[in-house]
Amino acid sequence: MRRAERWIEPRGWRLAAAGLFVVLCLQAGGARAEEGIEIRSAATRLQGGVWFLDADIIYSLNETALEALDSGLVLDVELAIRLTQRRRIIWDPTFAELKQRYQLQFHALTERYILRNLNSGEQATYGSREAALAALGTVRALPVIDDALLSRGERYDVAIRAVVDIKQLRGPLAVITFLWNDWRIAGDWVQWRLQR
Amino acid sequence: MATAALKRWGLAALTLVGLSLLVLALLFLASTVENADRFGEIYNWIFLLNLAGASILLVLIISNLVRLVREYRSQVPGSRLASRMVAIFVGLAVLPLGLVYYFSVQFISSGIDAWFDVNVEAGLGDALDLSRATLESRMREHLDATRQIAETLRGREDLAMAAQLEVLRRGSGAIELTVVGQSSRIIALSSDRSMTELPAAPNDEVMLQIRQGRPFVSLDPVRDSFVVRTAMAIPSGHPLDELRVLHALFPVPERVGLLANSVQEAYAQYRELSFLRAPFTRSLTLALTLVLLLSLLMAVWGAFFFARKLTAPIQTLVAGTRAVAKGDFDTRLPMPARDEMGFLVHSFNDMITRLAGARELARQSQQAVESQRAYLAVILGRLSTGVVSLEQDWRIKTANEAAGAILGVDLEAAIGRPLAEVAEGRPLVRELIEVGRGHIDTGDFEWREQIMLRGEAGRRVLMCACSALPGEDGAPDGFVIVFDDITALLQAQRDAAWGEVARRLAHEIKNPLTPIQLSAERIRRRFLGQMSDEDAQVLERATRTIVQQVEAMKEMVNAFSDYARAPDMEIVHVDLNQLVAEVAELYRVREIPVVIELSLDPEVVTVEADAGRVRQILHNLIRNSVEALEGQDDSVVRITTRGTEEFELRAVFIMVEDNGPGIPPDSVDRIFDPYVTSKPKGTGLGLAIVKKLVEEHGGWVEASNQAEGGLRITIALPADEGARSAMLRREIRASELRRAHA
Repeated sequence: MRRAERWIEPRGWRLAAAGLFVVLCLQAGGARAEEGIEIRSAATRLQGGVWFLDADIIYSLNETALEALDSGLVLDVELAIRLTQRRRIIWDPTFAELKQRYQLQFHALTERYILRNLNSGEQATYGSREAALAALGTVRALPVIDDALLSRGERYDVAIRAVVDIKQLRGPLAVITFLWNDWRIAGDWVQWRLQR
Repeated sequence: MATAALKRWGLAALTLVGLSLLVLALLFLASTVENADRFGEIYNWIFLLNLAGASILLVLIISNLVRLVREYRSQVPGSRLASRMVAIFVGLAVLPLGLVYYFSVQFISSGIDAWFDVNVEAGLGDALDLSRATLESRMREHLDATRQIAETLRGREDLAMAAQLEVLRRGSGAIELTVVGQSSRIIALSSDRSMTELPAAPNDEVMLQIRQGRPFVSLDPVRDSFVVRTAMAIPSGHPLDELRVLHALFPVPERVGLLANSVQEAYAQYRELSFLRAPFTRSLTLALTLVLLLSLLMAVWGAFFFARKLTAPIQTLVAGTRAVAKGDFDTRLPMPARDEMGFLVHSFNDMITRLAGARELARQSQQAVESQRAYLAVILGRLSTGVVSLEQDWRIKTANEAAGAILGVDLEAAIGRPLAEVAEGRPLVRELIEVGRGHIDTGDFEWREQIMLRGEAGRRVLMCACSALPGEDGAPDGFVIVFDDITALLQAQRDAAWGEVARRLAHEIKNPLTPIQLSAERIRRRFLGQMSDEDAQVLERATRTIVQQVEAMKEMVNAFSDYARAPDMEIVHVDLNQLVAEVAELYRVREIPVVIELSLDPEVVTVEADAGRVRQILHNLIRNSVEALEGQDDSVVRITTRGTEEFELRAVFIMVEDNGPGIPPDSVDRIFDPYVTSKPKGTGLGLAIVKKLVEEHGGWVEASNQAEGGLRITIALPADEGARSAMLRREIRASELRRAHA
């Protein structure tokens, strides 16, 4: 990872902080210190005129997520890749954005963890949760953008972030997802310059 | 006022915003039921809106509560009723809401718990185990088959494997057989699937297990069914040979797969619901609590709102009533609605309109009465007749100017006071009261009488009439006494009679006097020489006496003639002070032992009068005083002149005072009558002629005894034509002028 830096996602809901505070207080338990999503390494490389992403991501799920997974609920995993054009004065516009979606599920009958890549449709099963999470966290040669689409002389930054959501519930159950925020585990953005 | 209106508008706007936010939040909630994905986008807004709505409601409630408490303490009308209504409304809202909330939470908790049954969970677990056991036996079978195939392939060359592999796959019933070498290199492959894509190589987990010397078998879910995946190392002839792995996929019968899948899904759904039970219960309880809180706040605010709405017309009515009590009949209350309160307000407005009309009528009536009263006052004021209305207790109700002038007291200033109180020191009034009481005390309320009053300035004759004012129950509510001063009228009549007497005397007596005198003289001349001395003396004395007495009678008749004579007035400008000085000088002779003092007002320049008449007036007055002082030492006659411009007319006063014996009090009012005299000398016509001459000028004369002794005669003469006309028309009364002079 080159020149990777972190920043907190700019939230547009600061005004709702007071209201959400009530909800936060109602949480069953606090998040453990080691829980979360950590991007151990991330790098982009140009190969054959295409920029590829290699990344190693450690998914440390919280108790709720683990319990939900073992209870058969689907974990939705989203790896967001954002390419921004660097400017000096005004804000940086998003040049391109790619979202890689996965689903992780425990299959009780076979006692195996199923990992599906929703973008490619591939599916793999793993005998253990650790193996499945390790496979989920290993990103190799993920095509990001064609180099020909980038302007010469411009500077671009790449940022990635992984988010784990417990299954998107429908109807009245959807309220749960938003009332209890430990149902969503969001990593920090990691950004680095696209070295050309 | 403006601040209150601004506050009211502000509260209304706040209320509208709060309610709009709540409605918006409810709409958002409704939209999330249809589209749950949107909930993620707007749930923050929903919370924010709910929070804002609740906050606004809370602010409204607090402000309403503070206002109500303040009004209650200030005992604002309607505040007690509003407090009671708010308490009742809140009680009515809180109790059912609390009950609904309690039972809802209980139903949610117990209802959701009822979904999960231990037996169902155990049964699903057993079914899962059974399915798993069934599939595991198949897995073992397929693993054995894989092991046999691997044995069959032992020591085979790579190239020979491909053809044999197809035979083995068909024989084993596998879907796919793959031989993989180092680095996931596919050595041989047999599959009944289309070859559009390469089969997936055994993953790290498989390879790890095989390297550990253990065969791999797993059941992989594929869509609605399953496949059994096996992997095993192909035994090699030599330890240094490349590791080759046989990777096989076996189908699971469709029926078995469907059943197993059904069991799996049922079990998964149950576990999912079981997992969601707690958060779902908490979420519903929280949502219910929020809804309850908002409902409660809305109910409380609604209680305030409707209480205020209901009591507002009452407050308006109270304010209107107070305004009317203060006399503001222009107040009109706004109509609240077409309900009972509206009817009440309408009735109130109608009543106020009628009251205002009645008041206007009363005002007009009062105005008319005032106008009549003023009209009557003007008439009474211009009347020369005195009119006094009295209460039953003889308090003065009204009195006109003439009444005061006649009685010599300012009755208009004494309105409201008892007449008896005014009469103190006023003999005229006192006598009038005595006469009046004499009638009224005997029940004679309607009487008419000519009464004679004796005041300081002499006798006054009043023609007096009394009428009772009609009161309730027939009893008189008071009296009206009307009186007129007829003293001057009577005097005039008397003067006219005396004039006629004088004229007749002059005519009837004067004529025979001359023949008598001539006859007496002839008798003396004819018979004086023929008689003896003694008789001649007698004749001489007798005829001389006759002649003398005839002369005296002639003189008397001439005086009568002068009294009766009324030659034309010759009005000229007369310097009064000079005239007084000239006349006075004639009496400053040795033969007249009287000191004449003059006190002349230099302001009195000229008067328009008949100089001869004025001179005669002065002569008569001075002579009268001199004759009265005859034989008295230190005799002094003082003549004073004073000018006045009271009542916008010019007049002069001439006062002649002496230090003589004065006149008897009972003769004061008759001193100006002919032949009324207290002196041994004189014809008795001097002062009568003075009075006649003064009245010919329009003036008046009066006599009074001085406190220190002596007689004072006061004459008022108009100084110009205007004053003379006014005084002749009696527009200015002698009494008024007398008061001004005093």
